Amino acid sequence: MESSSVIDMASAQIRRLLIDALKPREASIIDLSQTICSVEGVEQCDIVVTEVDVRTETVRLTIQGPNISFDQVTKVLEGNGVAIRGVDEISVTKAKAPPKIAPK
Amino acid sequence: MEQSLGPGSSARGTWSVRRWVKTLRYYVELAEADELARRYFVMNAFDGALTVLGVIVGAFVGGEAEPKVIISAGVGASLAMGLSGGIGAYVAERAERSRALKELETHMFKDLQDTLIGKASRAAAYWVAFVDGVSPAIAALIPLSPLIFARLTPMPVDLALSASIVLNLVTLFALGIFLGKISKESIWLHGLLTAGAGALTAVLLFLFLRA
Repeated sequence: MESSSVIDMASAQIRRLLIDALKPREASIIDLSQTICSVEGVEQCDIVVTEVDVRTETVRLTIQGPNISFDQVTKVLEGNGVAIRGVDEISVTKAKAPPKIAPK
Repeated sequence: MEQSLGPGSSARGTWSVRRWVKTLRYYVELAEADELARRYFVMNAFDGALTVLGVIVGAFVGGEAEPKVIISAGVGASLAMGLSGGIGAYVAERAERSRALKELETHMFKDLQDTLIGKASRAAAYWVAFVDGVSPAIAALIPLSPLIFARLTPMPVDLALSASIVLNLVTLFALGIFLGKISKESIWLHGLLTAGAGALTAVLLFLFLRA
């Protein structure tokens, strides 16, 4: 049961993430988006500043890609001084099994 | 996977000076330390040049000064200024940056020491200290070069002293040009202003020491 759930987890691929986060004002969203896009499995990153404070900014990140690694995205965000407040939306698809080739 | 910290450090692989410089420039820009470093550079280079001008004019008025003594006094003063500037700037800048980082941490509810912001903050303190230490030393050593040359060759000491004073004023003029470029105003006006300050110092010292 345990091994099958691991296989299921691996075949479920994150395609889209909507993250609500807080970042220091010094950290540029241009650099941040480019850095997130360099993560394997990420194809597109959109960042919108929704709130501006004296020292911080609230941002909404939309990350899209064929197979996003949430752990790597989290590491990159934390490394850039961004605090994740929550994952507001997620889109996951199950990877299609490769077609079986019929023996000749 | 390693953490990607900004575009400067995102590329992995072998360490290279080019990448290191790129990362440092990115950190300095991020920490907004470039303007501060520029200010420190001009202030301390001015200090260095005028201090050595004092040493040289003093020796010139006193007469019969050995180039060896002037070089020792000048190099000693420039090294002391470099060390005092570097250490002083590092300690002061580190304290200020640390306070700002802690303040930001309270806003973020997060430890930022090992993040891009923390690294940029530390790099900024090192960079400002480096600029603060090196600028007076360089500005002091340039005018001393004719005396070093006179010590190695049979060049007359009086000529070397005059050349040192002229080179000192040229250094000050170059600083003025740099200031003019920063302010996007007349480089000649700034150059004349800084060189004029040097010339005025030299004349005042000359009159004071002669009296």
